[in-house]
Amino acid sequence: MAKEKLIVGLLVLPALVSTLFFFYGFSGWNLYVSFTNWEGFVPSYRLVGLANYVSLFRDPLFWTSLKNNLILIAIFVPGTMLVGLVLAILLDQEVRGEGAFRTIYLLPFSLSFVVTATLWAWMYSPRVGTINFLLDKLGLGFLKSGWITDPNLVMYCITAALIWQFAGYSTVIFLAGLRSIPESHIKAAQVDGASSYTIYRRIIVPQLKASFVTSFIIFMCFALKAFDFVWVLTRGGPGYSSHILGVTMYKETFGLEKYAYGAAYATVILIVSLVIVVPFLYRVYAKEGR
Amino acid sequence: MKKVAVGTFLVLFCGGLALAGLGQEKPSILEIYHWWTSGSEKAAIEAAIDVFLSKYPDVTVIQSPVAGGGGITMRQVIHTLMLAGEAPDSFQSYPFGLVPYWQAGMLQPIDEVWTEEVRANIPDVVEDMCKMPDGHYYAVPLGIQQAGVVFYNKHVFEKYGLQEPRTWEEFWQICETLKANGVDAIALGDRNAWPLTYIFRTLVAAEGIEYYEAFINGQITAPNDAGLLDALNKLNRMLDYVNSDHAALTWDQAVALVAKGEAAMNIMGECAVGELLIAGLDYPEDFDVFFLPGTEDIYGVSLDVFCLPKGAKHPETALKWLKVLVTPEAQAAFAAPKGFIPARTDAVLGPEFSDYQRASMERFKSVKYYRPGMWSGTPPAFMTQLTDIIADKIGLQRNPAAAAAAIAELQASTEWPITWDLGPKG
Repeated sequence: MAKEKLIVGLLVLPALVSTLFFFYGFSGWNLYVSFTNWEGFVPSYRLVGLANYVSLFRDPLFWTSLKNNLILIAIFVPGTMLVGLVLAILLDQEVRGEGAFRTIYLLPFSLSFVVTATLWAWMYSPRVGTINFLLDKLGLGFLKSGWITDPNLVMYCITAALIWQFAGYSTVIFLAGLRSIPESHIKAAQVDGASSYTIYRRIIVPQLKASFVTSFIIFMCFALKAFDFVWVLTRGGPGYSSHILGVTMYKETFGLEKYAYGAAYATVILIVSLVIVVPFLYRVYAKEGR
Repeated sequence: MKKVAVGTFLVLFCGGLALAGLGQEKPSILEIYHWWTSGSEKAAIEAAIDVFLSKYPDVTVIQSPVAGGGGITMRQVIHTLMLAGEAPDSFQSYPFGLVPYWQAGMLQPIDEVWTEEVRANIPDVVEDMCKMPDGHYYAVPLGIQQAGVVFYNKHVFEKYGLQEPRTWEEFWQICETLKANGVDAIALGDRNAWPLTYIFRTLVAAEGIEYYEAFINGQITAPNDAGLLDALNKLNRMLDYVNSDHAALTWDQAVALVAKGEAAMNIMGECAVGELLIAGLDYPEDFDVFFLPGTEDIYGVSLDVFCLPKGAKHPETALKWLKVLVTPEAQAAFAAPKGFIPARTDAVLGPEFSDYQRASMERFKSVKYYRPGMWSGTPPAFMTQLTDIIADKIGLQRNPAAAAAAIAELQASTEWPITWDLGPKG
């Protein structure tokens, strides 16, 4: 018994040590740096207390980035979950070629963000992009727009493209959840004369809780971390209209070489993630007494 | 039995590695870092290395190219290596990028590379860009590109009976004529923000060489500075004549518009030449260049340099590398494929040089003033913030007064380690 525990411990040890060192260790170092005055090439570890955080909260660019990030979260997270759920329900109908459909839906997610962002940039191009071109051909020319060149539309364009990329991943999560619901529950409800709608609402959707929780956390964390897609698509432009927290943090840290200030940004992003995710998890699992 | 087999294998493997390590001890190695990873760039650095190897055939040159335009990725890599004391033997940089390393005492002075002969054949401004405030040389130039050139499609100009402008009134007249005929006068692709600021930098030069010198020395600190407002107003006015989808295009897509004749002019550095040539245009039959009124006497120098970090593992070999780089042969070999011109005025332009490069070289030798391109001559933090201000206050808000106030404040708050002197020299 003890020998087994030892072996298990040894096997887990490398992963544990790396997580402690690379994740917690470096996050701790980042927190420390955020309290210093390190700016420029040579590291400086002189402590200046909360000065960086004070500048952060006084910086209008921070609030713009936060606002843009919240728009992204508010639309992307529920949007992707909804699209995934609908597609999963459709796929669950045991259509022919289900495997092929699943692969097609999952394909965008396997592409790198840089590739998809470049493609979407071409599609969104007002003059030669496919979207405006198709709108014209379908007689919907009045819907044409500047898309990513329009500061009022750019965040929504980014969100739509990201929902497209993650739809397949979301579908897979919900499909797995649907497949794990016992047939007997559904059959019993059908025998009792429940309509399709009632079956979905009362039996299936509540049993998809695990899928909802998983997808919520994954997409929420992604939306807060998103950087590469936005950077390649718009570079945070036009102007500052598509700056999100990750983009601003990158520019401050590597563009302006304000490492301590960027570290403060990173810490704030982490805190925002925890503030959203932790209460949610607590509510979900506290009820089950876990 | 299995354990014995595995154990023996491991021992042999490690032993083999150790022996291999011993056997690889080659005394002559040169490790260099650069960001020239795309087609013509790669051909250019290989040509320079070939010249080096023809003089020192027993050296193994280890290149560590780090992709990422303008070297943004490589800068971070080099930062990390320098801080860890693992600096390579030499690496590419733009001149101002070396300043923080010099300030931290991490560069070796290389005065011995800059002999009388070298100094006599390289223009003073290029020399200044390779020096640090303590008066010593720390870098050698490799590859000069002209900055702030107006490329135009000759056929479009001929179609509307236009001539190269010599005054600003003539320039705006050209823009008006083209606009009236439904043609975009100026092609712009500022999806990545910097091309709009690029035009601003050229406009600052158009205010005169003394003004440009004051600007890159951080002396323009009044929000209502006349020259600053003039440059910003001109930039704002130019936006009336650019293609409507400029915020969705990258700089090379904008150059493509000129190549296709959908736009007339593009204000860019000589990297645009490569794009025009690839699109099948010939110089000067299909495309030609002129210079914005006010910049006719000025050659904007965009420069890449190589340096010698302290703690390099093979400093003697690195010095040999730097000495070869400043020879006319290496300069010419590098410049030809990339579309650059050699930094040495006595370099011979062989047949592999294009007509455009010859024209540029002539201008390089004959012009009155030289200016360091702003990217080469100002702190990176200043350039990043300037780009943001222009993109937001001019590109989006079209508000020159607000931009002027922000730029003046930025000038006042930036630290300026280098003071430039661009007065007339040889």
